Amino acid sequence: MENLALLSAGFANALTATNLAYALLGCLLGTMVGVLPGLGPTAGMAILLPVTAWLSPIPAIIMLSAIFYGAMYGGSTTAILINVPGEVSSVITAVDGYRMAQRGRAGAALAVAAISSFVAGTIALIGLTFFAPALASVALSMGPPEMLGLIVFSMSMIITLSGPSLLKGVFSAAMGILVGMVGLDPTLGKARFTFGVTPLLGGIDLIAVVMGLFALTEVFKSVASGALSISSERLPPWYRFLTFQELRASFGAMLRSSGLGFLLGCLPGMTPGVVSFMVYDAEKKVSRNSRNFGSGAIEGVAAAEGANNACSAANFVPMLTLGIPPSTSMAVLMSGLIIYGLQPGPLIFEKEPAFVWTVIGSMYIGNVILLVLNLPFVGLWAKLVRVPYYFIASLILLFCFIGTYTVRNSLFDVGTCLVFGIIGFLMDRLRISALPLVLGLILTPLFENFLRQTIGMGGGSLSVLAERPIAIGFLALGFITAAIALYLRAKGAGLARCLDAEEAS
Amino acid sequence: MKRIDCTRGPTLSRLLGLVSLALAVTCFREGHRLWTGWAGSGVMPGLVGVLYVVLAIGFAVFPAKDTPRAAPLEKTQRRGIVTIVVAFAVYLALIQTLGFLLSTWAFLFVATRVMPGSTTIGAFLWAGALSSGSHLLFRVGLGTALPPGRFGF
Repeated sequence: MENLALLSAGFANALTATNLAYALLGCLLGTMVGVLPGLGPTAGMAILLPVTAWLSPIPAIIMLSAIFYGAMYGGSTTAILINVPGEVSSVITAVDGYRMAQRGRAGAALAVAAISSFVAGTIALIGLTFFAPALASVALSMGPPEMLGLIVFSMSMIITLSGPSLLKGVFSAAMGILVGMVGLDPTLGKARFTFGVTPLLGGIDLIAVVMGLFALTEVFKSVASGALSISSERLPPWYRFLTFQELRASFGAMLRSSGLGFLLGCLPGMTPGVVSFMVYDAEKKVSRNSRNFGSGAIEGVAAAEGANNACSAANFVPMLTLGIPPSTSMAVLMSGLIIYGLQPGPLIFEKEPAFVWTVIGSMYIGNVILLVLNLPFVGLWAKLVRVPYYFIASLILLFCFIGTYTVRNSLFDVGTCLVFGIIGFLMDRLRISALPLVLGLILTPLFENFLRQTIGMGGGSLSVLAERPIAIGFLALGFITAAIALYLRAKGAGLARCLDAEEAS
Repeated sequence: MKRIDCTRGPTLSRLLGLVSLALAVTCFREGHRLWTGWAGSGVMPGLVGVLYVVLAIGFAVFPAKDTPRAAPLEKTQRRGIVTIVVAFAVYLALIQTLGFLLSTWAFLFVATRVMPGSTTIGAFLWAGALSSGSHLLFRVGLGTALPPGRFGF
């Protein structure tokens, strides 16, 4: 009941004109980011992070969060209409959605995608409302050994994010860990891997790395592709809208995918892209209409969209309660919180209740805004893909500079962004996934901090772990997850397609 | 984009194995330099060094299979990417002298012009609109500290 009281106070704050305006702006920008392939929520949030710097923390994070979940909504539009998924998480939506559009059922596919996204978003937000504070109170009793176990568990997810080659994925993660160690040692203040270069003492900025790897790389890829615009394909005819029978048929898929998407999304490493593939495969197994999956089943569209939207809301659970970002998008959002002096983790619900509950309240409102934005204006959004790419690419270049420079007023950081743009492009050419690099970069300082504290507690060894059952549990869970991921990888089933898509992103 | 079969999987593995080995040596040297005990600054570099050794062995024992990869870049595409990289580097070198507005205009003009489908006049006008628009929004409107240069803008 206390949560409901806090949530209603959060709603009251979120419904002020300023917060509502930023939620609307975030939803608009997020939908745009979602519609445009390549420019994912990670790059979108990183680019706009400095734009929010002049705002107070609450509207800024409301806007950044709206960009994140708005991108999940927007990604399905071009996937259904022209078979160009705006996001990795929409790749699976295109499988059935585009087939439906080709049969003149684009209106029904878009409607079910929007309704499923709304249902999933709402269910996941209810889960977030009740589950996150409970998890935060459990997390408060966790010490350095438990947190170390939890981070090892999170690191095991690198296997899931490694793309088709595990070795290349681990190589990428090791690069991230190495980059994360550059600068002053967080405990003793000794310079590491700085090689006498003074600006490196401050470490390599996460935003510069993310902007380089995801935004600048996208510009290079667009030049390499030689494409004038993302697509010049004509929109398919709409014909009939969603019928009541179709809505009833897909309702079960919406509920199942929302529940499963939320549960999976609470786990570190489970990005909406990965989860949508897993849930789609699961739904295909239980659906009465499984035979039509892949050839235009409306349940397939509902399952894919439900899963990715539930997962995107669930991704807030580990970030807010444990201070562990489950995906790169959440890492950017987390760095936004840190810039504003807010430390995500179990204490945030106690120390900053107004902030947390206003953001959660705004997400409920954003969910409704997105439904309104996506259903009537879908044709308008789809036209964005015909905009000449040089307009978008030069905007990305400009925001790469402003976004990276304004974080620390450092031209060195902009240079770092350029270097990581080149590295990201080379990694893309060599089919090495950049996601583990970012995850390694984010988790390294946390891992090192808790490792050294645990060693300190054990008098110079890790023996203290043996006395902490929760820590042992997390470590065991990490090994089990790694084993399952390796098994699925060896089996090469549905997940392999997903890993391919993640890498291609 | 046209895709061709690649036969360089094992070569890439050998290359990544050698890079891993070199990074392992760097990590061990840094770990050794900073070593003060198991809770000291040298622990993480040492651990990452071990990870790189494992990776080097992995690349040697399990070389990557030949997989499809992107087609080689054409001359114009390669030139376009190199031009953007060089223009970006020159932009960073000159921004403190020329200031944000002028240097951004010049950089965006060059970068936009090398992209497919752009025209000289279109690129010039678009770069001008973006640089002056962002100057007005961020520097004048929001008071963001962007490099002013010798001319003050």
